[in-house]
Amino acid sequence: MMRNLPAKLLARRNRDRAGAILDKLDSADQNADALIDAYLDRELPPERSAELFKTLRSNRQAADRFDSMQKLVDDLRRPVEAPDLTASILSEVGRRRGWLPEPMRRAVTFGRLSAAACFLLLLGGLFVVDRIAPDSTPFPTGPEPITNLVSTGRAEAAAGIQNFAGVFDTLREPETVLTRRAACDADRPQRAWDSAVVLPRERSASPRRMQFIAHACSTGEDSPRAVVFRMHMNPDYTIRFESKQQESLGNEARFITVGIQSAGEAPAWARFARPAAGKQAPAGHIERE
Amino acid sequence: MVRMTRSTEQKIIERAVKGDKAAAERLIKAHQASLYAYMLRISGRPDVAEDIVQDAFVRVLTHLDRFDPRYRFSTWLFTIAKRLYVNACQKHKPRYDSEIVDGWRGVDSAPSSPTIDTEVRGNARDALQIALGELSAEQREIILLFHQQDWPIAQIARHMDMPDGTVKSHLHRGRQKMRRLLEATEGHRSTVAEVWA
Repeated sequence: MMRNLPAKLLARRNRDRAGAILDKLDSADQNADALIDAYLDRELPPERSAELFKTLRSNRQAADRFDSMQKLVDDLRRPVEAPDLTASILSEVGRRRGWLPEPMRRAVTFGRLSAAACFLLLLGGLFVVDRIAPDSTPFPTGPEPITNLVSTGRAEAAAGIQNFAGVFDTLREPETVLTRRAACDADRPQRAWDSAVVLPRERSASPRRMQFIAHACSTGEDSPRAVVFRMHMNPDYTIRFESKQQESLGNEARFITVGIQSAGEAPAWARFARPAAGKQAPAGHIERE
Repeated sequence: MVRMTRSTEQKIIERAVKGDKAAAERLIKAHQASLYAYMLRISGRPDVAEDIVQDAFVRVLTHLDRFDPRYRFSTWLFTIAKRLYVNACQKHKPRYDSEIVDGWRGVDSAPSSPTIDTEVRGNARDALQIALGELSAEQREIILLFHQQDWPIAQIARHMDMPDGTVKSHLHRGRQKMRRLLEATEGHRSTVAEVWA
């Protein structure tokens, strides 16, 4: 028992030494691998390159690993003979979207610039017209509640376009009005100041020029006469005729019927009694110029 | 392969968007070889690589107006090529993804040049292709983008939509695995050479 003890201790000591040497070797291998990986990742700083190559000189296995890795990378980077697919690609793309020759591309660029310039000119022109004759453009003169804009947007747009066209347009033919004469209620003429019948209140504040179709009815039911007027709508609801054809009303006319017509909609008709002779017309009254 | 700076490339792309055929041709010439090499390594088959390269370029040039100049053109091109390859694999399963070994034996291994050197290089390429085929799809793609295409880690990370650290991890593991596979192949080849000697 006593004689065996030193041998056991010796064996144990030898095992410990071998383990330490193996640990050191493992650590050296790990260090070498880390250096190799950093080198292959292109992340090894130049000052550590010397350390790598020193390690490789002293560690044969690490040098072999480095060699095989380097060979692997070289093989991956070896160029491949690639076929030239340019012609077939270009022809397929040309079939799908087409190629433009140089002069055509210039023309397209010029066309785009011209279109942009035309658009800017149109905007500028509208601005100038709006400044010179605000009634003839569809732009609002002041801020309006968004709810009004939403509710009256379509009608405003239609009326605006119609009005703008009316600047250049002549008076309409009365035949179109006569066809709608059925809407004229001759028995119950409305009062001249009842403007709500003619103009919905939401749009009554608009100071813009409106295109109205006015239909004058004479007293004699058997000889109705009709005429179309162009009128202004003032902010204070008064309506006045602008047409020179007012004479056609004749002295015998007691009331006229006015229709407001938006694009695509049936006209809203209202009838206005003429003011009695010598009496002042109330606000909202149809008056003759 | 024609190298060009990003600003030059951007100008060429703008001209190609406007319909300039010569500009589109420059783009193709600049990128087709690298894309073909990449697809060849990914698919292992020249016919598949050729199809994918052609389809990718056609798609990219047809929709060039959608290109976001903040990114690299090559990243966009390779992403589309990869998607096309994945779609083709799903469509033609199992013809495409049975890959890799049978398809490609190297461009210079034709019967007309049966030299020993050619044979050795052809074998090396086969071994490389086999080793690539043993990797996972991510490892294979990352190794090719990094070592074959020289993409930086950050660009690969964006392309693969994974963190830089994960890219590096895939790169190291893939490289180690390939080295072991190639060493095993090399050992087998040495034994065969000794037997023939």
